[in-house]
Amino acid sequence: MSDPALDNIERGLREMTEPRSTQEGERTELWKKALEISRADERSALIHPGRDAEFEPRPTRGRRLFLALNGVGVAAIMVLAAGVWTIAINAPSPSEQAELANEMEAAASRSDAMSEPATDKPEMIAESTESSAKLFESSALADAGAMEFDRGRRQLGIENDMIADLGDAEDETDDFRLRLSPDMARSRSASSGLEIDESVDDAAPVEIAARDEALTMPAEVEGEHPPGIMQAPRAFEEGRPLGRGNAGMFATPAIETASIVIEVDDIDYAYNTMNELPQAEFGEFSEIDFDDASAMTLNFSPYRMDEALDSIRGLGSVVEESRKPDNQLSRVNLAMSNTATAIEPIRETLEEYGLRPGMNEHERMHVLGRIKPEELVDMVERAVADIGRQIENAKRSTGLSRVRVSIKERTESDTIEE
Amino acid sequence: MIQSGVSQFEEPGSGKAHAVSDERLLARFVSGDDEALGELAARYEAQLIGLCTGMLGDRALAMEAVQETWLRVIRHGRTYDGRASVKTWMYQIAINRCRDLGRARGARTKRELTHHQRESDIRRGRSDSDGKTADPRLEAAVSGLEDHQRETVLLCYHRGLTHKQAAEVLGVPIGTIKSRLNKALVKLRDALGSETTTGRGIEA
Repeated sequence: MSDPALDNIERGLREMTEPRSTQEGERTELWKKALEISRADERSALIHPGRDAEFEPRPTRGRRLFLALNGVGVAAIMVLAAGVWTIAINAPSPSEQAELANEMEAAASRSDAMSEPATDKPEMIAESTESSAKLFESSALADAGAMEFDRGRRQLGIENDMIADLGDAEDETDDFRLRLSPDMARSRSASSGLEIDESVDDAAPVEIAARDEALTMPAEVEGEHPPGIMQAPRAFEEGRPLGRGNAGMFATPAIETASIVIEVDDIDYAYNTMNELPQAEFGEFSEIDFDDASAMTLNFSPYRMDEALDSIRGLGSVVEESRKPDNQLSRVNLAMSNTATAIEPIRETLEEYGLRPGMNEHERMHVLGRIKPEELVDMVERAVADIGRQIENAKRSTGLSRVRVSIKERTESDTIEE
Repeated sequence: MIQSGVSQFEEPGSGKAHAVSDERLLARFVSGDDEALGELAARYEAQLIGLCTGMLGDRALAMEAVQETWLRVIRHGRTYDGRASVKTWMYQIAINRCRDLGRARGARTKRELTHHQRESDIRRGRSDSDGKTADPRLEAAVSGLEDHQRETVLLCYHRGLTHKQAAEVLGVPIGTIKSRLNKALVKLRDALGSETTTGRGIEA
């Protein structure tokens, strides 16, 4: 249906912005003037510091960075020098060092004397230096004895499992028990009456995890803490809610198709807000519904579906909303359809250049005329890149959820629509 | 990105194919080939002047805006990062120049004055220097739109830009373009006095 008023408006609008030249019948040359201005500016910006001594060139970005780094380096050196100077000032003099050494030696002697049982007597404390020497000698003897003992044990085939040889009293200590090898643990448990399940010992961690009793937590722990990620499957089976260790974020949400109709006060604001949503992988609306000027279909990552729908709902009042699971086959079908539509114009353009099946070189040259082969190759490369982009977009869109959003303005704005 | 991909091979508005992409031309210019910039200008200068004239309502201002656009392309061509097509990038620069000039020189007032002047010129039987005439009532109605609506409507009806590219130039989603366009057309129709009450959807 044709509207003469709108036809006139559209014709007038086209005339208003018709291409025009600067002079009637002449080719425009504004670019040349711009080029001349630019060249003149470049020439005037040329710097000759030697010729113009007063000229102080503005530092370039790189030069500014260089100067800043130099400044930082100088500052660091100064700080370092100040630190060295401070240490040098506060360092003790040689006489103070000697005095300090004497004091430390005396203190060490006193502490040795106090820790040595045989030095109870005051006369022994007085002979601290001599006793220290004796103590050193005796500890050296003890070490040599221990080494000899070890060597003897090894010659007799006795393993160096002195911890395992500890008595029952020591075995009560958990720290020690943790260091037992399985064989030693078995031998010790046999002697102490404890039973260890052999299958647990030999089983893989997964098999152990599968055994309920192996993972059963005390009742009070289970009650206090919600199940974590490792226990998520059991939580689902038992109908329990997931706690903070939510495994949901590791699961892939289902692809969905949603439809929402909202009424807004400011339709421009609504469109722009939607454009700023972190929607899907594309930086623009995925699809515009040309039958309905106010409707569009957005592709969202399934992870963002709820967040996106919340944002859309917040733009106005929801008139209608539906949501259903989709399947990837329908998305593939849609993507193929969209891709075919998008690639068609490129294919037609290529064919205009004689790039169609069955065309020989002579026919192609006839179509192309004087086009250089390298220019043709350049053009074809761009076309192929465009096609590749379309296919890549289609591939990515198969894993995305869709929301068809229809926005209505509260005030009647679509009076010229049929 | 298909539409922009196609535009790399076709001369805007003419359907004529180009063998060398805009990006390649810019790269050549950056590496010292001034003629490459000339080729870019051959493709887009007239269009930019047309768009800026529509935006500013003043041919002299529009030419100033386009010249500054080229200056920025020359100075910042090295830093072009390829996130948008060269075409979209240049249009973004031009739109920003128009905004700056419009703010700095009271473009609105000037546009209205220019409109009155043009109206009187048209009455005297003169036409635009290109021989192109625009409906003065429509120009007045467009100048009465809010800035973002005026930019949207002129970019969308500017030959050589798709709605998607217009969205890229303005840095808004295409949905916003559609809603702005609908609103702007409603306003324009109301301002010009609708001859019929039936409406129709806006094609994207």
